[in-house]
Amino acid sequence: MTVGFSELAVHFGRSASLVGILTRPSSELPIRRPAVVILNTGIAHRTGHHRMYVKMARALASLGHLVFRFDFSGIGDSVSRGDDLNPIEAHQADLAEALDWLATSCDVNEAVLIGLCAGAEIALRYGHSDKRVAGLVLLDPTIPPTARFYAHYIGGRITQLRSWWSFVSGRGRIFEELSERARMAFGAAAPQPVSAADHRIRNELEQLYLKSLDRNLKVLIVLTGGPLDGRQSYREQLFDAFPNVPLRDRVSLEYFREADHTFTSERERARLQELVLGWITAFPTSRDPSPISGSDAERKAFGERPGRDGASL
Amino acid sequence: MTSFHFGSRQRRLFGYYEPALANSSRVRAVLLCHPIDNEQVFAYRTMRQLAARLVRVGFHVLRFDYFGTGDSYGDTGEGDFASWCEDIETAIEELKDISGATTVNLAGLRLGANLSARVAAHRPKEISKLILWEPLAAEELSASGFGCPAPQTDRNPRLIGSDIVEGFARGALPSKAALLPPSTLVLLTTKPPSPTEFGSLAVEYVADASAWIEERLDTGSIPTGTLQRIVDWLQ
Repeated sequence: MTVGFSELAVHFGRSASLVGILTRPSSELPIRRPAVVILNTGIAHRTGHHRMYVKMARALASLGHLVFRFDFSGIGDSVSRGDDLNPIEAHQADLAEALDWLATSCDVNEAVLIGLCAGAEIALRYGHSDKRVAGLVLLDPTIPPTARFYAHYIGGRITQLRSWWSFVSGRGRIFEELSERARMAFGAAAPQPVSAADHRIRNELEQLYLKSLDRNLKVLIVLTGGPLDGRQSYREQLFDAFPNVPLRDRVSLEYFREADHTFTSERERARLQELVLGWITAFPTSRDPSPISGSDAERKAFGERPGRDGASL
Repeated sequence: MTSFHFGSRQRRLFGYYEPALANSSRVRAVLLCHPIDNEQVFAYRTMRQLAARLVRVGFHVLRFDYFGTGDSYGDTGEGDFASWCEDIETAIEELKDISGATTVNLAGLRLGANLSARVAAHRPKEISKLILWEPLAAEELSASGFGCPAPQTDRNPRLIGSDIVEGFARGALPSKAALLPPSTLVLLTTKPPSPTEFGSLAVEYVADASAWIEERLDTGSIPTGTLQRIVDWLQ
């Protein structure tokens, strides 16, 4: 079999309870920085929807990058941590352990995190806090709604009879949002403001973006514009939603108008992969760029292999 | 537990093996055969939970990905039904080798059920019990992408027209009953079968969540009733 990569199943972490797949360039290829860590999308395991991450990892490895796809605790094959961390804290701890493993086993000290949806949020929360993280690829991260979003959303739904019925009968998100905004505009007391959570999330995300930019993380954001489902509805929504963050000048933003949230279309997945590969191969490395050979890296990383081509717990 | 790759150098398969946690007077082993595509992604939690329940009552369990699916080597378009059946046979040998079992049980979900039935028919002496959980109908097997419009998938067009479509689709199973192990159970969870649909084959209906479908309201829910029935029946 002639392929430009090889893969190793790995158990790692505090009690070797986390499971990941390391995709390595073939031994004749020099290893290029940065390494890439791909995060779960929600509760989907490490292959990603439509096996998107497997294909992306192998393509990156064939260009010389080490790629690590792993399952957060409680997802896929990874065991729950069994400690008292809440889910957000557990994800952060898992990600730190993944980078620790890459550092000690593969000599990786510079990595880009890739995440879709919830995975993007985890990457954004974590990236600024770890000096080993040099960049983020955020696929469909959470973007708060804006006035223009509401205009698009209503425009898209207005022709749907069911939406009209929901509106007239007082049900549905738009009715609730508009009612809430009307109450706020006219000063009426809102006992349980719908927007309170929105404000908190918006502020939290704003702080995370500011911290990421303060750390000079390179950031690529990809938004999808597929079927209306209450996410973003136009490219600049990212900038409009966070007016206090200089995102326009500091991040790379791509808008995939035809793609749905999980990139169901093979054509859109291919476009995404080409974009991500191009962005990572052009990544400016801040450290000594002298490559280490694949075989050297393997010896450092794995020493004596277990009897089987994998790891035991 | 061990995650590892096995199979030939040209056809490396990813597997996840869990040894029995309970003592048993004899070595008992189960090979779990996944669906494919996003059905595999959505059902992954359920199959892992099934494995956990089986090891607790004394089974050695191997889950694995067919070539060109999941974490196994191969591009998505390289897989086809016949070679996936060969992958199951490879996995059977691997499971026997690791566990020391002389025969194995097969439990297949969706396409995994159709493939398991075909393998069991070819190796009747090596399969103790066979569970066919919601096997695909011929029209589903013929579709180039389960749940996806054809142009949006990178599925191998050779899948269409495979002999498995004719031979081991849901509607053809009664005619193959004589070839299957005496202990074969068809398990349905979406709706009850018609009275004659499966002929002499044992069939049970358990109203439960469809583990292979992602629904916003019950994403990630585990069909616990079905899993318990599988464990009970295999014991």
